[in-house]
Amino acid sequence: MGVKGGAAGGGYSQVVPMEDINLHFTGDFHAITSAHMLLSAMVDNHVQQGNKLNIDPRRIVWKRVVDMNDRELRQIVVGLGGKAHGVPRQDGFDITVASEVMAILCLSKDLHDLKERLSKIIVAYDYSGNPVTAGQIKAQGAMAALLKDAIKPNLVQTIENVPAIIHGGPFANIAHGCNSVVATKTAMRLADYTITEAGFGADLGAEKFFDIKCRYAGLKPDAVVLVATVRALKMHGGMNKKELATPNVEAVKRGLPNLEKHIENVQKYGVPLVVAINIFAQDTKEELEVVREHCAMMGVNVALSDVFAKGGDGGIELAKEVVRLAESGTAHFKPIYPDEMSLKEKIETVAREIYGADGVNYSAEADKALAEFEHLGYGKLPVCMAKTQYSFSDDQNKLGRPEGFKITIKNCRISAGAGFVVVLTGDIMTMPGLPPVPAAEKIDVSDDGIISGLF
Amino acid sequence: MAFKSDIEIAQEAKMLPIVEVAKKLGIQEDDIEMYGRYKAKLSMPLIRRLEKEGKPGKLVLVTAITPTPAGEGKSTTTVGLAQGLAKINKDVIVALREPSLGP
Repeated sequence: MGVKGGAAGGGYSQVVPMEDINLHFTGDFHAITSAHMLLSAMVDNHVQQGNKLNIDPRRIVWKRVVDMNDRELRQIVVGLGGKAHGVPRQDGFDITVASEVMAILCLSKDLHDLKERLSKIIVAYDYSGNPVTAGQIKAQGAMAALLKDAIKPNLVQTIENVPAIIHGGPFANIAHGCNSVVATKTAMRLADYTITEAGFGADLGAEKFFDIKCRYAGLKPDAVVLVATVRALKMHGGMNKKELATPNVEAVKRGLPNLEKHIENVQKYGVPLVVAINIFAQDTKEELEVVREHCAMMGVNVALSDVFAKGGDGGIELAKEVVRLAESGTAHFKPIYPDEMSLKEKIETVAREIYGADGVNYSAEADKALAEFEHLGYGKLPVCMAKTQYSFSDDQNKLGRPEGFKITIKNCRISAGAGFVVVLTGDIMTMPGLPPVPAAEKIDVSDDGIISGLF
Repeated sequence: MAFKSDIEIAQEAKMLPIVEVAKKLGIQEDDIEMYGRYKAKLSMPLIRRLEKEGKPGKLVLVTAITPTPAGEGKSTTTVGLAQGLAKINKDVIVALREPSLGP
């Protein structure tokens, strides 16, 4: 309803029926919203009905959610109206994809694991500062009951009738940004090749896919496709968006270090990769050649992809290289840090190895939070970095391959049910607003029920 | 030249009934729960059976360089790659995220 493109592909490489997928689909998000809101209602009800657990209403950390961009709901006061209407306190809404229930659904192996993870959610702290969990509120069974269908993967197809499983969609910043473990594991047992993706650039998306999802699910990826465009490389090389149609080999060259760092990073995980150039009509031979040469120097092949305009026919070159890599048996996947490392060591490993930072600064708040999580026994969990996706650094204006910078950790949160510590390098918006002209103004439905204006 | 929008292309696609798509994967009608003609959920018994008996295939991750306003086309490449693999007669499936209503 806001601005973004569909997350179901574009042109002649899309998943269909796209209107359904982009609107209510099979109701998974509604189920997640209901399960999340049930827990909210039960927490507030507990406080209202005598508060046996001694919950400090000022420290209820479980916010409410809705699947709509509505900035008015970011900060609200609930429980107004007097004694019969609850205990007044400050609250707020996040968007459904930011719900920990979404992250849990996507990391659970099965219904049993789902229930176990739901029970570990920290909803509040008591007056002595001890965490209070969803399990103590006795919410996990009913929440899982609401999610019993949502945990089952959805089967659809692409425009060319290739089977597609679309399931789960957690935020890629405060959560791990990958489809569900159940979907990926099931897909892998239904076909010889499973093609999946992760949100944002490889420094965030691939890192979390490897260090969170693969770690929990025991997955060992066989190949990686690193997507780039000549246009994006030119922007990393300092060109303005308006000038991108002008050929400029030098700008491409200046942008290559960004690609180079991502290649090095994927290689650190021990997975072979191919660089896919998503080609545009204005890309010149010379521009494509400098990319090819640079990648060849790093032992990586480049495949041109024209799947937006041509569908599968535009993806054959890439497909052949993916088959070659996946069948080569050269993948020896391992995460970038072991479980045993302290939370700070994990953060510093990601910052140095993946972002190329010189070090990490912690705010007093972050220091305190990390010490508390270690004390509470969460030190073995992986870290989920919430950093800008527009730069390797925590400054979104530093394009290309920045050097000589430090990452600043402002605060940390715990998603004890999902099983990771969220590490915030800045303020992350978990309830977006609508833009000046919302996409919703153009969306319509005909008298026959045909939808228009969706992307 | 007038380009077709994504939704126009999508609406022109000749979809197979989801039962047929399932058959391609060796899934019987009993093992899917229909949500209309073109969407289905995989049943829990099927998921549990595959977990026990199925042999995992290859897993390929599609990721991207640092995003810019110029765009990269990650989802498009993911879907296109799968379609490309199908063109060279590989047995393939796509596993994507569900989009949010919000952003």
